[in-house]
Amino acid sequence: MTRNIFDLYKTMKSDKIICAYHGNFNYDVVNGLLKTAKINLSHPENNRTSAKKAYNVLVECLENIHKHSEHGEQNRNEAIFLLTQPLDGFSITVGNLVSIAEKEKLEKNIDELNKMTRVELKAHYRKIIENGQISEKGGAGLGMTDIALKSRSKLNYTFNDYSENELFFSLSVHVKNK
Amino acid sequence: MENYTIEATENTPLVDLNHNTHTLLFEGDSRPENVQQFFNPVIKWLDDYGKHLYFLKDLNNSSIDVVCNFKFEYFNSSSAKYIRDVITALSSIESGVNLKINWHYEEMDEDMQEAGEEFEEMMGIKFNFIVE
Repeated sequence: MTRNIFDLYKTMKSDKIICAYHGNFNYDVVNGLLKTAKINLSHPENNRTSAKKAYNVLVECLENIHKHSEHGEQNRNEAIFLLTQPLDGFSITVGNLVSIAEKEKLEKNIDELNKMTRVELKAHYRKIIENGQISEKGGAGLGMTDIALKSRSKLNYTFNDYSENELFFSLSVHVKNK
Repeated sequence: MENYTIEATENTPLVDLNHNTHTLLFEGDSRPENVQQFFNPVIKWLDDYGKHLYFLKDLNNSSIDVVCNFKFEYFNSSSAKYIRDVITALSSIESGVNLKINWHYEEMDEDMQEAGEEFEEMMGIKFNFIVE
C-alpha cells in the first residue's frame, strides 16, 4: 500500500492535481471539498479571475453529482473529482455512475450546449430561469448551462461501461487563464 | 411589520431587510442546501413590504427611496432563479417609490458583473454597478 500511495503521489504531482477526492458525495462532503478547493485556488500566484471561475464551475460540477445521487439508489453516490492546474489555467474533472437510460438525455444536453454560441447560451440560460423549470434542488440543465457559460469552453465527456445497468460518466471542463 | 435579518453562514448570504430605513441587503455566498426554503420567506417579506409601502406612500404623500444592495461573493445556479424572483418582487413595488438597485462586484469577477448585467436586461430595470 505504501508503494501504491507513492505512485499515486507521483501521478498527482506530474498531472498537476491540486485537489482530489474519491468517495461518497453528500452536502457536507461537497462543502468540505469546496472549502479545500477554495484554499488551493486562492493561492496568491494564481490568476484571480480564472481561479474564481474555476471555483464557480467546480461548485456546479460537485452539486450536479450530489443532486444526481439524491435521485438514485441509496448508498450509490460514489464519485470522483479532480482539480488540476495545467500551465494555462485550471481543469475540473468529475466522474460518477449514471444509469444507461440517462445517457441519451445527458449526451443530448451537452452536445446542444457545445454547439451554442455565447449569445445562444445566454438566451438558453435565461429561458430556463424565466420558465421556472427548476425543481427544488435545481436541475433542468441550468447547472450545466452555467458551467458552459462561465468556463467559456466546450464540455468534454465520456461514458465508460461499468455494469449491466450503469455507466461511468466523466465530465471535464477547462478554465483558461485570461 | 417586522424587519427581516438572517446572519450569513458559510453557504448562505447575510439578508438584512429593513422597512424603517428602506434598505435591503444581500451579502456573501448563496448556496443553500434547500434554496426554496431559504428564499421563500424573503420573497414573502418583499410582497408584504410592497403592500406596506403602498399605504405608506399615501400617508407620506411623497415618494420613498428604497435601496437594495446585492453584494454577492458567489451564488449557484439554483439561487439565480430565486434572485430573479427577489428582483421581480422589487420591481412590482416600483410604482410610487424610487427604487435603486446596487450590484456590487469585485473588479476581477467578470462572471458576477455579467450576472448583474443579465438580470438587468432580463428584468428591464436599471442597476447601478459598483466595483469593489
